[in-house]
Amino acid sequence: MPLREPTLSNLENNFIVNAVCDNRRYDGRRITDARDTQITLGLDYGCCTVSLGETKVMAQVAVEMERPKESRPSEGSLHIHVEMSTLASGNFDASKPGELGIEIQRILERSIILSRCLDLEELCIRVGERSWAVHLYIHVLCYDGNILDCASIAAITSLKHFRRPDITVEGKTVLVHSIEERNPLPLTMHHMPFCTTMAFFKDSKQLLVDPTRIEEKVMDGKLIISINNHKEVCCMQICGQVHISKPQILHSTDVAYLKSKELSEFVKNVLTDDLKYKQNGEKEQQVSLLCKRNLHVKENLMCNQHKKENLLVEIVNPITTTENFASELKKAPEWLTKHDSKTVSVGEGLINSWGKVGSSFFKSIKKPELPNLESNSEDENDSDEEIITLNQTS
Amino acid sequence: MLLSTLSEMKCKQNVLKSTDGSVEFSQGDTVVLVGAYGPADCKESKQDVKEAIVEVNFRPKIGIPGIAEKYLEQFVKGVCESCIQRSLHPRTTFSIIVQVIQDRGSLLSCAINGTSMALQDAGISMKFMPVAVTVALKHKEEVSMETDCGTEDYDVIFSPSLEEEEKAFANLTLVFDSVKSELVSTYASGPMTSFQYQQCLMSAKNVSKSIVQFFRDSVSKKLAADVL
Repeated sequence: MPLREPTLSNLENNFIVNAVCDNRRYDGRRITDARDTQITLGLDYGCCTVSLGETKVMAQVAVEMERPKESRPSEGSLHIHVEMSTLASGNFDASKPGELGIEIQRILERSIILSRCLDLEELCIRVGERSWAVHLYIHVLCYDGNILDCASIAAITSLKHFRRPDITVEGKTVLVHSIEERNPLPLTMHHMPFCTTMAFFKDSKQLLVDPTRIEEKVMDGKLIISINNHKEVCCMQICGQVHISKPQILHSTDVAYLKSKELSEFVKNVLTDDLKYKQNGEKEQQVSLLCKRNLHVKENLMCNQHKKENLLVEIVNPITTTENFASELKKAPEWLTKHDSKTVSVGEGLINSWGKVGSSFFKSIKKPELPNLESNSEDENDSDEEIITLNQTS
Repeated sequence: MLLSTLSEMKCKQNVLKSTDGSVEFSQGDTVVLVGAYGPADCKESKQDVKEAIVEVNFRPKIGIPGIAEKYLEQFVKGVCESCIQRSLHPRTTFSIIVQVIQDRGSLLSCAINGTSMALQDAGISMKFMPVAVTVALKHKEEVSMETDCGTEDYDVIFSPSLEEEEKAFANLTLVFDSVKSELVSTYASGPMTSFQYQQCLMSAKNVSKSIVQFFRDSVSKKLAADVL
């Protein structure tokens, strides 16, 4: 049963719009800043998890053999499936993709399949008889705005990371070699298109890159541009009630191009690092970060990653870890003020002014009115309250 | 008989902003992401006047959920129904979503342990925390037969990998409660004698205690990270 979408109050709405008009954002980013991008590659070929701030998407590529289409006998095919899991948001229905899911799927199809970034002819095994069908599954894990940008990074990374099994064709028989038998082959990609979503505010005068969920609710409309690092626009879409002028479109294309260039560089680095990592025989999941804002944030994020490593507990001897942990707990940091053995507080605080205020307040109540003889039941209640207040003040 | 080692566990709590409770749980190379919502609104047709209902959604990485996933769903649902204090929240639902991130064997026990931690993370009242252990029984290879000093001709493997699961003649997933270490649920495949079952049960019971300790440690570490 899908949960209801929480509504946004007018105050919140106005706060965000006013902030945006002031060239500010509620999370401290600048107008053209995207959130921190993190790519995690697993052990499986063609699987990656990408997070963009709190938004999180997992992509997985799989292949199967099929008969090619009659109209294109010498080509394989690429299919994109977007799964909007209830994990992502309580109001998503797992059984159907919904409006948002369909929108994301269509734009990804236009951006990746129709831009012909994947070489489909290479996927043909025997003309008119056998070809590979590549399936790209996009699982949305957490929704905090701008799923599309996150999904497009995940899609490209997983397609790049994927290896398909090698085959030999002898006459009419096709032999598929297992991964142990022969090295699997990568898919051929001609270019890497990345989507950038820009939200428009204030009669489409103000532009925001990478809107969060709240900003998406408030915005007038959005412009989606898919562009590769050769500055070729692969797909463009305007949604909502906006009128965007020609210079604005050119400007946003430049912004999208810069972002796409940076991302393709990042994805390439991540994949080469991963190859090195795997060759060294290390198995743990690899996490890479793209951080543009400042070093401070980067350090913070690294800390978060560390926490995970600290949690890594050897099951065999759990006693030692608990001891270490107990000794860690005893050390309270210096910035905490200690009151007694059990209570601490942050900072020293101010002098309590409640006592004075409280007593004057109670005095004002204390003046009792003469009991009303006409209504007995209310009287009783009143007198009860009075006794309580008197007790408190005395 | 010497116990084989249990694969390394990792638990990262509160990973998703959208859910009430979420956990990325890994056991060896198997990784699952579990999210829990609840107690939440419920359709009138599904409501139970006396107690809350539990929904489990098992999501594979490739393709749409099939019969195998439905079966696992039912198993996890049964375990959750027994551990959650459902009578506290009549006419509501608890919804649990298990997303497989990487499957390298003993998926079911990983999913149940992850669910247990996710329910804990969501702050749902439970009678106990379910703890699952997967055990595989495998015939010894002939080489080791010569040097064998015991009478048994099989190995007991804890948290088996996919390969080991395939080679094993019997697989067993045992779910215990964290308070009294009593058996809650069993999932078994393949033929085994009652002695073998007892043997697995006893040794898995011991192992479950150390997993409970791991749960405790990771919860207290998370709380410490929030406080300090």
